[in-house]
Amino acid sequence: MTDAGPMPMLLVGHGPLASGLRGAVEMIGGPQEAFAVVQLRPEDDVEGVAKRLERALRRLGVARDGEAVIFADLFGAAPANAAASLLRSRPNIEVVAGMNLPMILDAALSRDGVSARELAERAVESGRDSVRDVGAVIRAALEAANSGGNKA
Amino acid sequence: MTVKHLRIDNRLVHGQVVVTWLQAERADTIVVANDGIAADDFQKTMLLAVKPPSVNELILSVDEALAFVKDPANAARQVFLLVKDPVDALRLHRGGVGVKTMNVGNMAFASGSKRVTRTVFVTPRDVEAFTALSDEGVELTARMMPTEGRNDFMKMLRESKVL
Repeated sequence: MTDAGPMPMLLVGHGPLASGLRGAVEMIGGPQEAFAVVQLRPEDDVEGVAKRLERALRRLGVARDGEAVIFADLFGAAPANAAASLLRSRPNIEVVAGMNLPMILDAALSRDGVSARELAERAVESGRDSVRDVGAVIRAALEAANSGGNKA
Repeated sequence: MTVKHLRIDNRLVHGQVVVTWLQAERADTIVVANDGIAADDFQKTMLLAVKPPSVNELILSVDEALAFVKDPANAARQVFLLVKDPVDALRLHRGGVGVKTMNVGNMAFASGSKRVTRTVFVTPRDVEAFTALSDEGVELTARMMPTEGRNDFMKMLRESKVL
């Protein structure tokens, strides 16, 4: 990638998940450019979703040998498999499964002049690191405070 | 050889659906029978790369699947057979797969297809194959997940005015 525009992102998931994530990202980070969503409906097959992903990439202006990152909701499920099937004809795209809001937000807000590979690697890392057991964290903090003699 | 379950589902192995069925049917091997995918190295590699890790999966042509099922060397296997459409299911039936009940999962919308349920659409070619299977003594059910009851798929076709 030579131009420094934002790396195109395409989200695909079951039902309204992808468009819901876009809504959340734009609520926090403002309107997004080079950002599209595709949804799997109950009556869809994998090939049909793959065709809609291909059309969405073209609308985003991603050339055959161009770079983009497709984010899918669930590894091994139809939306992720449809995205993976595009790797046949598009060698320079990346596909990441298991998308969540922290991952998409982080990727969406810092993707200028970044390669698809870099964005995908960072997304996997931030998605993984973002999952926290809040109850355990709070309870451990409370316990530490209590045993430290700070009892009320 | 025991074919524990034959599922007609154009999404083939997807999400947790097949894993849930394998557990319910105590099957240990998935056989995907599809000529197009069996002849396509990219698709084969991709589908095997994303299969559930706990599962043995084979991708074979319809003829290879028949040979696999009939091979005495596979007698101990508990097979879960998957096909994309009823035309391939009928080929398996006529080839002697020996399955008395077949189950319909997802059938995607295609141009010229009619809606049976929210997730099942059939073309005239599908209806013809389903009718032949039924006429030749195969019971057809439509269960997305194992927890659903054994509903009669031919009755659903009649009730949705497709037949």
